[in-house]
Parts: sequence; C-alpha cells; structure tokens
Amino acid sequence: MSDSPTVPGPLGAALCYLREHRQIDPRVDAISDNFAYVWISDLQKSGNGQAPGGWIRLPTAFPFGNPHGLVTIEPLMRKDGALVTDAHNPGHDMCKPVIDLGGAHYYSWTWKDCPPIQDPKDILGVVQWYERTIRNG
Amino acid sequence: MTTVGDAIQQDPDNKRQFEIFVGDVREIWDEAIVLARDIILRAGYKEPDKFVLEALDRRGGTPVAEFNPGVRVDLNDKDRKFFRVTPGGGGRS
Repeated sequence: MSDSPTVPGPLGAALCYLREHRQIDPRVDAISDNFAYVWISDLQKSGNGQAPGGWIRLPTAFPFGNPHGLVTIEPLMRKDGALVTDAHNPGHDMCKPVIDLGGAHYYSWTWKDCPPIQDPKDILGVVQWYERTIRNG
Repeated sequence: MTTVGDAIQQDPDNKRQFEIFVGDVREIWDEAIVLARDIILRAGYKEPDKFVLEALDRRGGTPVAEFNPGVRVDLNDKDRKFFRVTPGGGGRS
C-alpha cells in the first residue's frame, strides 16, 4: 500500500467530515490530473455478494469542482446479477493511478444536472449519490 | 420536556401522527401520505426538486426505496421511519 498523498485543505476537511459521519477511513490512494482517487471502504453495491468499496474521483479543488467517475476492482452488478453496463469502461486509462491496488473498471459518471456542491460537508451526499447511481446503473 | 410519544398521546383528536427521521432531523407528520418534496423541504433543503428521498431499513442503514420529489410517500408502509436525502441527477461522459 502506498502512502496516502496529502490533500489540500477543503478536500481534507471533507474527508474528515466523512470520517466522522460515516465512521469509515476514506483513503486517498492517488492524485492524478487534479483528481484524488478516494477509497470509500463501505461504498454499497447492489449485486449479491459484491464486496463494498470503490474509488470515487474527487477534484482536488473539492468542493469547488465536481466529482467525476468511479473506479472499482470488480465490475459492478445489478441485483439480478447482470453487469452494470452504463458508462462502464473496463481497463480504462482512468484506472491507471490505482491499477496496482486492483483498480480495473471505470464508470464515467458525471455530476451533470445534480445540485451544486458548495461545502465540504456535501461529500456525504456525494457518496450517497454514487451509491444511488450504482443501484440504478 | 415533551417527547414524541407524549405528543402523540396528547393529541386531542387522538389522530395518529407519524414520526420520521431524515438523517438527524426529526419530523412529525399528521397524515400518512406525504409528498417526498415536502419531507425533503422540511429537512432543510431549499431546492428539494434537485434531490431524491431514500427510505432506509434502519437508522443509517441501507436504502430500500427511493422517491422523486413529486412522489407520494405512504408513512404506513414498512421501512418508512428512517430516510436520507441524496442528490438527484447525473450524467455520463
């Protein structure tokens, strides 16, 4: 496991807030192209037996920039066992920053038409949004 | 101090009231059928139409149903005690 990169103040504050309110230890495993790959260990999946967890891509300028994409180790599955095909890019370049940690599947979801992010505390809703997108994927 | 239970018992018309939690926010409703938008609004969200209401299986638990703002929520149904509000929308690149 690589050392966790240092993150700028507001993003760091957001991760602290997440740590307190979700009782997990969000881990920044990489920073690439101004995006932090933040491992969320309890990110809920839909498919039966799928282990939780995934890297959400947050701009280092968070909350002054929007999340973009998710990287997972295993492909996401729906409740009925079918693969989530929505915006699924296996082996995409976006996985490279965490490929040594197993990152292999990129889902190119964007924050389009979502409410504006204004506060580090909004990270809680961001993680929930990822879970909802996975569920409906 | 009046607890929620007291408030329910002291209702002079003996009407049933519904206590729900949206995150840490407690709401009391006098009717069973409530628009999701109104629940979100009462929880403090100024633009409720940009969010989705999710019903949880327990406090801080797993979502078991989701309601767009214009949908009616029946608080008599199972798993309609604990909720969370999640951003709506989303696109693909």
